[in-house]
Amino acid sequence: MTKRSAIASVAITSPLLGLLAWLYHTGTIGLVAIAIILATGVAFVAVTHYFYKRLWLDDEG
Amino acid sequence: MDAMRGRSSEIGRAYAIASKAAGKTLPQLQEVYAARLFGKHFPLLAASQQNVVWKEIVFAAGRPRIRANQLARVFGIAGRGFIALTVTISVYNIVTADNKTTALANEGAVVGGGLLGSVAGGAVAGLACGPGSPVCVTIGIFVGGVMFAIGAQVAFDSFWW
Repeated sequence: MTKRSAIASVAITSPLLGLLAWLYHTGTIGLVAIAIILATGVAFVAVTHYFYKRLWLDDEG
Repeated sequence: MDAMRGRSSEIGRAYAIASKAAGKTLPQLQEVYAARLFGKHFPLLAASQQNVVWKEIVFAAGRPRIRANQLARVFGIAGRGFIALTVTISVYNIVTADNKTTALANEGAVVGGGLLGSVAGGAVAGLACGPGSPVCVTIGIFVGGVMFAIGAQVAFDSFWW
C-alpha cells in the first residue's frame, strides 16, 4: 500500500466513523451495531484481498 | 488489455493494475520460461531451446490468465448472489410489513442507496487512491455503500411522515 492510498483510505473511512459516532450520540444505533458494521467491513476487505492476492497474484508469470 | 479491464469491477481493475504495475524485464522472463519449459537457466540452453523460450514469451504476452478470468467470474457470480439475497430479504420485509407501501419505499431507498453508494464510493476511491490500489478501493466501496444506505434510512425516517 502506497502512502497516497493509505492517506486516502483514512480519509475515506473518517466520514463513516463520524456518521456512526453521530448515530451513536443520537441514540439511533448501539455499540453492537457499530461493531457489526465495522467487523463486516474488515471482513469484506480481508476476504476480497485474500482471494485476489492468493489466487490471482500468485499466478504471476 | 485496457478493453478487458474496462469490463472489470473497480476492485478487479485495481488488482489488475497492481499486478502489472512493474513489468518483468526480458532476462527475468527468459529465466521464468527457461525454468518452466526446460528446468534450466536460460544461458545454459541450446540455441534451439532459447528460440522456443522467446517464442513462448511472445505467445504469453497475448494470452489471458485463465485463473484470473475464472476468479473474476466467480466474484461476479458472488456479487450477483449477494444482490439476489438483499432483494429477497427486502421482499420478505415488504410482504410481512403492515404498511406495504411504506415498507416498499423504505426498502427501495435503503437498497438503492446502498448500491448507488457502493458505485460512487468505488469511483471516488479510485480517483483518491490512485491507480492500482485495490485495498483502498475496496474500503471505498464498502464505506460508500454503508454510508448511503444509512443516510437513506435516516432521511426516510425523517421525511416520510
